[in-house]
Amino acid sequence: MSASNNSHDARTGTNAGPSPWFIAPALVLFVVFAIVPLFGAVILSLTKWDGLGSPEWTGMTNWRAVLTDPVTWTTIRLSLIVMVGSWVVQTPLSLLLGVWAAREGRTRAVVTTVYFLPLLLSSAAVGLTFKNLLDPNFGMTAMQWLGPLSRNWLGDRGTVLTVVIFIVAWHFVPLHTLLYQAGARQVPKSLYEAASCDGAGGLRMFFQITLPQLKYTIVTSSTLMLVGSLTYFDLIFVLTAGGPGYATRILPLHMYLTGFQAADMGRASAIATLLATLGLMLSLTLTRVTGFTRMESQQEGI
Amino acid sequence: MSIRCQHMLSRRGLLKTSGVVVGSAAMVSALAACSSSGPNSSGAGGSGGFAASAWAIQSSQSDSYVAAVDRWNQAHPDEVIDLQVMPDNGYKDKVRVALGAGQAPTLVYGWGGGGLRDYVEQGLVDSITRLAGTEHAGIAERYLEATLGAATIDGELYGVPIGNMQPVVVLYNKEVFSTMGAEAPQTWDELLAVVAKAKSANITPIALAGQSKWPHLPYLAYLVDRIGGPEVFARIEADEADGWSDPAVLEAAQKIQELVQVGAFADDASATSYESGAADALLYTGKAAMLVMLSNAYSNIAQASPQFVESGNLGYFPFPAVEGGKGDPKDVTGNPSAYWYISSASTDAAKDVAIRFLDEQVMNDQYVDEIIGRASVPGAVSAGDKLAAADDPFASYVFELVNEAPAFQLSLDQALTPVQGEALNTALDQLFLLEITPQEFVDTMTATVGK
Repeated sequence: MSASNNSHDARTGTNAGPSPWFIAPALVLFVVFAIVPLFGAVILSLTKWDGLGSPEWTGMTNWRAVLTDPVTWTTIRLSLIVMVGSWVVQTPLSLLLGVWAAREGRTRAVVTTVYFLPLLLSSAAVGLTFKNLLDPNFGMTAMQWLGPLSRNWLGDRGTVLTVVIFIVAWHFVPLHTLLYQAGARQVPKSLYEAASCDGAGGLRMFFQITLPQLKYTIVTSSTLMLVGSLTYFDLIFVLTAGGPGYATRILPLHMYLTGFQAADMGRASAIATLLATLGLMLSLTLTRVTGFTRMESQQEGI
Repeated sequence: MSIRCQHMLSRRGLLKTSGVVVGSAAMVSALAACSSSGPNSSGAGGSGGFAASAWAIQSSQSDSYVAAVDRWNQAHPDEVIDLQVMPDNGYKDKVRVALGAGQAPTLVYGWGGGGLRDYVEQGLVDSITRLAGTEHAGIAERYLEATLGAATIDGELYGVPIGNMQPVVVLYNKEVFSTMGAEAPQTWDELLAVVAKAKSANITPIALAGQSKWPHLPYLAYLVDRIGGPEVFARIEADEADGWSDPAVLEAAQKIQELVQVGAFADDASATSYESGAADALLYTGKAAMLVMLSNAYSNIAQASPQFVESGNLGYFPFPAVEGGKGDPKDVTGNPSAYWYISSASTDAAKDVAIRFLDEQVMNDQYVDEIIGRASVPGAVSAGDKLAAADDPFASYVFELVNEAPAFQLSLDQALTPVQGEALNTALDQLFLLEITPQEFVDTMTATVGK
């Protein structure tokens, strides 16, 4: 009886679903640990506070200082370079690897398993490892027979950013490969069968079937990559600490150094707010431009 | 974390020696304490069954603190001190947050200087001079004057030295020096001559761990001192508006760039970190002739390459004098010691325990002997004779260097306020990379006055 009642309600729409109270615990957590600190940072950005004693109200002073400081713009520019660079390097690589790994075969399984290992390492461990490998005196790159590869990678302003982007890619490509592998396995086999009946080759199938079918995987992975690159911190902190000079001081690192090394919490909060705004804008633009929010099916009519 | 737990284990193991079963029960409780003990359970006011609490960081000297607390706890089972030894990483942030929140331990580990001044101005740490009164006045009397300066503010002592002294010295490879026919330089020009000789012998003249940034600091501290005397940094530390624009700072910055331009450092110095041991290794492998570093580099090298030290090839000399400079070439810079401060948020009873503990167990004969036994040099008056008897020429040299120094400049990143310290680290990095001119360096630092 209750079952028939329920189905009746669902049809007529008088029961809009479970009680809204069910989201209360999650909402409370979200407000306490996300919204309150967010506004806390905005308020702190209007004060002068060294982490001790009580904050002192200074109005827009921190904001004026942050926005007129050329270092802020340098760090934003570097963050954007790292962001775009990471996307350009990681997307094609992980897409190809993911599609390749999605098919069956023992070799693929073994290679894939080994290949996912970087995913298990913490950023700090990755940073330390590469720092030692690239040590100009005692690292791998100190070996003379490497020729042009034997150079001062991390101490040279001309190469250090490229090296950082490469190491970030080494660390994160496995994650995105995993996403693409899962995405590629979702593509119905019947599409390929039909295409092969029509005489399509492998390359054609990739461009006409696999790639369009992976559209939302690409959007998800790119969003993760682009927004995530705004939070790269630990790896770069361990690897270069923002140096040499300002060469790798990206925005999150700048925030940390201002807040915790220089004990200028007010100014660091202004930088943090700037960072959060950038991230929000980026993620909204991405979902809007790609139509991700419409959530339409890719497999209609199959 | 694991380090801290280890210490907790050994301490409780000592406390409860009545058998294996009890011992393992203590281990279980200690392990449980590891996961749950935050500032709360260790107690700002000595709650949780402890009479007082203490924090320290893991270093080559932490055995001293652990042993001293163990001795105290055995002698005073009803006034047990809870010591937590933690890794260096993030300790400074942690202690700042804890002090600001009134959750700090009774004994707070720190380095003196600008950070301590901050705490004192906020009323977060207590004057040891006042707490010790006349009854425990001996606490301050056992130390060399030079080690107390960094913890003395407006004539009152706020920190008790608990570690070894680390003045910055120039270490050199005697074998390399003799193959290129050089002598230990005493003046700046002689140093430049040695650099030129090393260059022509195809050896890196001075190993520099530029990636760690702080190894740049002694060059500035020493050059400013040798050129303008200790008053220059005294005025900078007092935050005087024209402190950084003293001509001595500009000249020191010019001398630093001159040193870079004549090729005193390897091109890849900016990618060399001190923590990885690379700078030490450059010296003992003979790839570099000299190293300007805190005196503890000596024990690091002795550990990494004992045969090098035993062969007598590791030499040392004080930072050279600058011709025509006002400063005394006997002045030193570096870290006089680590300190324990007393948190003002603690209860009176906890503060009393802390003071009696500092008087009874820290830098007493046994403590001093232990530091010397680790080939380190304590800043205690009694250490002079002990070191002479121990026949360790380097340790005696370090002791005399500090003992005879008219001025001991605390490492600049500790001496200045955090904002200035951070700005200095980056600006010096750029100065060494020739990214900014000496005048731009002075301007950048002048802009930090009052921050």
